[in-house]
Amino acid sequence: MLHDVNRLLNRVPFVDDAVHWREEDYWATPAESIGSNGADCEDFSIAKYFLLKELGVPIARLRLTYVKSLRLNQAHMVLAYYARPDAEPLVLDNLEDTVRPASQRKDLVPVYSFNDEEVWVELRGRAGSPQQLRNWRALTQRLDWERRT
Amino acid sequence: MTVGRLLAAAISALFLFALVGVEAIILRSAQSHLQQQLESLAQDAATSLGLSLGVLLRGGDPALAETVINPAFDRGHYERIEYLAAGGERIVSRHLPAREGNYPAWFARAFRLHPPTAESFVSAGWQQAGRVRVTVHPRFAYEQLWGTARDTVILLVLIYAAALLVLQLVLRSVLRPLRAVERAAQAISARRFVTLRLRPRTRELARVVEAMNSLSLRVSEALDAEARRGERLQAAAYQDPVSGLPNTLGFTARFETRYEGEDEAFSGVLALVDLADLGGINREIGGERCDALVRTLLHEMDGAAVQAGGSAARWGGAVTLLALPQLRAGAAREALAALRARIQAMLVEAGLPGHARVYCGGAEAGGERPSLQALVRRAQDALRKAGDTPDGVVVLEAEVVADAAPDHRPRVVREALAERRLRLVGQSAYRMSDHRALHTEVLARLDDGAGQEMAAARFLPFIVSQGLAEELDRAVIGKVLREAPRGGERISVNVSARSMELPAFVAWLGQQLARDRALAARLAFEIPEHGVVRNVAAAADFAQAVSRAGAAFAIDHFGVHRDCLSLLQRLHPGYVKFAGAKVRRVITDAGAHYFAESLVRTARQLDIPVFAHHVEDEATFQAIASIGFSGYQGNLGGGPVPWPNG
Repeated sequence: MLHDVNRLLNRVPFVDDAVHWREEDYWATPAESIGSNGADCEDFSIAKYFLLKELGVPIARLRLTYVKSLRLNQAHMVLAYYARPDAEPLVLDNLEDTVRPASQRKDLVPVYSFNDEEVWVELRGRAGSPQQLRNWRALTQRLDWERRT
Repeated sequence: MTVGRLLAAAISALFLFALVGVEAIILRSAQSHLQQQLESLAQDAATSLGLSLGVLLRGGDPALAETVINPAFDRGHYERIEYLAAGGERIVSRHLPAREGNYPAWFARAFRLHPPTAESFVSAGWQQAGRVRVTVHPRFAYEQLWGTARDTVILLVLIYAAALLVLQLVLRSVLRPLRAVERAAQAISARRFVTLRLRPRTRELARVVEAMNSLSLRVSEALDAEARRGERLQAAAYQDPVSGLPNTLGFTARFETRYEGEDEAFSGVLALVDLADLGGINREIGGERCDALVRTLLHEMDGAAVQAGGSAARWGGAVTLLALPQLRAGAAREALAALRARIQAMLVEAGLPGHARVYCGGAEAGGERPSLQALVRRAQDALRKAGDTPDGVVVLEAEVVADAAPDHRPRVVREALAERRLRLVGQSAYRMSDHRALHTEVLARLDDGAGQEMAAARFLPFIVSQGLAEELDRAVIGKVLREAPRGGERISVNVSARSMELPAFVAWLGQQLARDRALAARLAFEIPEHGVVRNVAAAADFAQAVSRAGAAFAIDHFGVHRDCLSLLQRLHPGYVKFAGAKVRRVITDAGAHYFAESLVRTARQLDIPVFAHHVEDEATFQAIASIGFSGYQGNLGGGPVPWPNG
C-alpha cells in the first residue's frame, strides 16, 4: 500500500512553490496539488500523509520529517512510516518511487519530525488550541474548508 | 450648584467611564496578546528542545538530556519541562513550584491567563527517541499585565487631572462675564441701575449683557418718569403757581409735620400780610403784570420770613402768611412794620401809589401746643384790627405765657439729660395685611425730677435750642443698645437732623453698631424728611455708614417736600413713614390721595415699604389700605408703652 501511494502521488510533476503558487513556501492540500497538477516536496509528503490517514493508517505511525538531501544539498521533506515506535522507518520520498528503509537512504539526514498528534498546544483550564505551526495551521484550515464544500 | 461644579462633575463622570472603558480595552488586548505569546513560547521551547535533544541524544543518555533541558528551564519561564521516552516513561522532569508573583491575586483572577503546554517529538536520526513536553509559567506575563494596568491607570488619571485644570481655567474666563451679569441683576433688583461695560466673547453672554443694559435703562427711565409725575402732582397741589411759594395746603402740611406729635412745638409769631387792593391793581395793570408784581412782593416777604428762621406761604388771594419762629411779639411787630414799608415803597415805585394799602396781623404762639388753625384765627383777628390802626400792623401777644415758670424748663431738661433720667417707650408699626408687628419705634421721655414724665414735644424745643440734640441721641441710642432684648422684634430709633450732620456722631454710631452686628441688623434709624432735604449729602453719608454696620436707614415724616420722591431713588431708604398730617388728608383731599398713590407706586418699584404715621381710626386705615401702604402706626394699633416690655 505504501508503495502504491508513493508511486501514485509521485506522478504529479514537481513544481517549485515560487513558480507554482507564487509564494516562497506554500503547503498545498492534496486536492490543490492534484487539481493543479504540480507539487513540491512538502506537498508530496502532505498528500501522502493524508491519503494514508484516509486509508486507515494510524497517525502515530506517520511522521512528516524535515531532512537534508545530501544529493541535492538542500532542505527537503519526506514522509516516514514507523511500523512500531522503535522500528526503523520506511521513507516515502517524491524523489524516489521505491519505498526503502531509512538505513538505505544514506543520502538523507533527518532533522525534525511531526504529525497531527504532536503539533498542538494544550491550555490548562481550557480546550486544546489549534496547531501552532503556521503553515500546518493554514493547511488544516483549507482542508476543513474543502471537506465542507 | 455652580455651573463650574456641574461641568466638573459631568466631565469626571465621563472620564470615569472613558477610563474604565479604555483600561478594559487595553488590558483585554494585552491579555490576549500575552496569551498568544505564552502559547508561542511553549511551542518554540518544545520545538527547539526537541531539535537539540534529537541531535545530542543518539545514545539516549538521561544525564545529557537533563543537561540540555536545564539551561532552558532555569530561565524561569517554564512551570514544567518533561522528557518522556517513546514508551511514555518519564526520563527527565523539572518542575518549578507555583510562586507568588509581583501582582495581586484578584488581578490574576480577573484577567486569567491560561498556561499552555506544548509537545515536540525527539528523534535520534531516524530513531524515535520520545517526546519533550513544555508548560509555560504565566507569572511573568501576569507581572507584565499588572504593570501595564498600573501604568495606564496612572497615565489616565494624570490626563484627567490636567483636563480638570484646563477646564477650570477655561470656565473661569467664560464665567467671568456671567458673574458680572449676576451682580448687575442683583443691582437692578435692588434698584441700582448699573450699565455693564464688558463685552463677552461668547455670543449668548453678549446678548444677555445687552438685554441687561437695556432693561436697566428702561426700568430706571420708567421710575424717573413716575417720580417726576409725582413731583408735578405734589407741586400742583401744594404750590402757588404764581409765586412758587407753598399754598395753604402746602404750608399746613409742612407746619403740621414739623410741629406735630413727638417733635418740637412751634414758638414765635405767625403773621398775615394783606395786599388789600390787589383787585384794583389787577384792574389797573392787567393780570400778567399783576402776577409779576405779586411774585416780586411775595419773594420780598419770603425773604423777611427766612431771616426770622421761618418761611412764607400764599394763603389765598391777597393774603400771605409768614411764619416767624425766632421772633417774639415785639420784634415781630418791628420786622412787619419794616416789611410793610418796603412793600408800600415797591408799589409806589411800580407806579401804583393809589393802591399801596398793606396791612399786617400777627399772633404770638403760647402755651404747650398751639394749633395752626387757632394761630391763624388770631392772626386774622389782628389783621382786621390792623385795618383800623394808623400804622397798619398789629401783633397779638400770646395769651397764656404765665405757664408756671417757663424760665426754668430749659434747666430741668438740661439736668434731666445730664443725669440720664431717660425713659424709653415703644410704639409698634404693623403690617397692613395681617396686623402683625413689623418693628417698634422707640421714643424718649425725660423725667423732670419731680416724678413727671415729659413728652418729646415738651423738651425737644429746649434740646434743639440748647444744642443738646446730639447728646440726647447718644443717650437714647446707648440705652437702646444696652437694653434691647436678645432676638425678636426689629427696632427703630429716631435720630435728629442735627446729629445726622455731625461726622463725629456718625463715626460713634458706626463703632457702637459694630460691637453687636446681630443687634445692628435689627435696628433702623429714622431721620425726619426736612433734615434730609436740608442736607442730602450728609444724609447719604449717614445712610451709608448705617448700612455698612448692618442697620437700616429710614426717612420719617416723609412726603412733605416738593422733591421728596427723588430722595427715594437717591438714598434708597429701608422704609419711609408717610407724614401723619398728610395721612389725615388722604381721606378728605383728592390731591393728597393721588399723591399718596403715586408715592406708594414709586416706592414699590424701588422695593421700599411705605408706612403711614398717625393712623388713628378705621376710616383712615381703610383709605391707606386701598392705596397699598405696607404698614401703619398710630393709636389704631396702640399708643406708646414702656420699652422694653417683658
